[in-house]
Amino acid sequence: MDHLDHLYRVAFYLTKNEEDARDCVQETYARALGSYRQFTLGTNLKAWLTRILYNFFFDAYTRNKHTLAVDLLETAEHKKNFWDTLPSANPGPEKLILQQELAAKIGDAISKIPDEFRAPIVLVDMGDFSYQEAADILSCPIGTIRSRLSRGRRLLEKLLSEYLVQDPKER
Amino acid sequence: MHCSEAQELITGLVDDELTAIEKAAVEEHLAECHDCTAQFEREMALKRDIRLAARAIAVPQDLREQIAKRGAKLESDTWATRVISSVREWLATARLRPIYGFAVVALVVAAWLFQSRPREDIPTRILAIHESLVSGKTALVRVNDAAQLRQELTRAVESRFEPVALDLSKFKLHPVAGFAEKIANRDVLVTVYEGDGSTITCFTFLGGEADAPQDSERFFDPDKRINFYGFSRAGVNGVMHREGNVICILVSKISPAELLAVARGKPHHA
Repeated sequence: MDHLDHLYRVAFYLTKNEEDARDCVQETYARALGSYRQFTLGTNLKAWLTRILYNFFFDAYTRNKHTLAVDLLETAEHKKNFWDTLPSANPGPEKLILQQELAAKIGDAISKIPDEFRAPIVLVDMGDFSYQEAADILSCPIGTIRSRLSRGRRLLEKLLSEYLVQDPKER
Repeated sequence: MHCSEAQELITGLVDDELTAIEKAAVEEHLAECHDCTAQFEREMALKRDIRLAARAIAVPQDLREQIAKRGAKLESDTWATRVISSVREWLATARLRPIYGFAVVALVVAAWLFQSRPREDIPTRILAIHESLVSGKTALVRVNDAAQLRQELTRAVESRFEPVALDLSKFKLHPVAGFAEKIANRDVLVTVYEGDGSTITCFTFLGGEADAPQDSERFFDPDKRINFYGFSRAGVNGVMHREGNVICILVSKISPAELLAVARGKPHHA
């Protein structure tokens, strides 16, 4: 339960919609409960759970075994509004509302970049995993993590360039 | 250093994932290059914004409750937890305090009887485990590094023994997952090999030739000068052999002849 928020966020940004994110998280916990003997006490539980989640996401969604919730992505209007309706734990003062607006823009931009660049950003920037941990989860070399992160962030910068203030120090 | 070389290093610097040499090199470049310095600052700010954006996502409350219930159900289904919660209930009831001594004695006797119960048959159990893995009932947590898997498995049994080192690459099979399991009160290391449409599970544990199933057929390998024991249950085949005080049982649905060839390390010619 300690890592539920983290797993949900990772699932949300990988699948790009709430319905599939819920499926991913439920399946992750089901698999974890069925395979807990494979977990070595004292090692990184968060990374272990994330690996289970990513393996399920990869098998189920990137190999086309399931289709993403297409109704949530199809219409232009729905696509425009979806990221604006993010559930938030702390709705409140103006600063938090602006934060939510930025979150929506970033979420929209992240959803547009290819899976291979999105996954490292979700793991390293959102999940606080090290390059080594992210490499273990994604089953790829550390160098690949760094290069995909670099390219992924460049893509995000381009997508967000109209929204982000030019001087990052002003943000 | 050219700016093109600095780009990935800038990413590593943002994440504090550079070696000392790399860090010194890129910082020296940043000291002289305004564009790359600006890139570094933009990337730092972007990472900060991404982290803030992530915090805006919260787990829906109903999903949280569902997961919590499922976890609580698992805990309540374990034998030890049932006993512990029963004891706690007794302890909480003032009227039953005089019976605590009897309850403790009853628990000790029950534990002794449980330990003394007839042991489950290892070969039958491992065939069932293999079937559970192949059918997907037990999910595999796949790994990328075979050497690391071997280390972790060895650590799981406190280095008392290691999984039998099998090189099945000539059969186009590679280790993809592994775990430690308790069977008949013995530690068993399980390594799953996959490839070319086949799955072979290797079970390693401390034992002797007496662990061979009674209905197994013995084959003596004149080259290796060891015995191989072949057996089957419900269409799943196993081959056991001993290396020192370690038993290795390979389990698969491939034919017994092919499985024996794999165990012997020799390609099978049908």
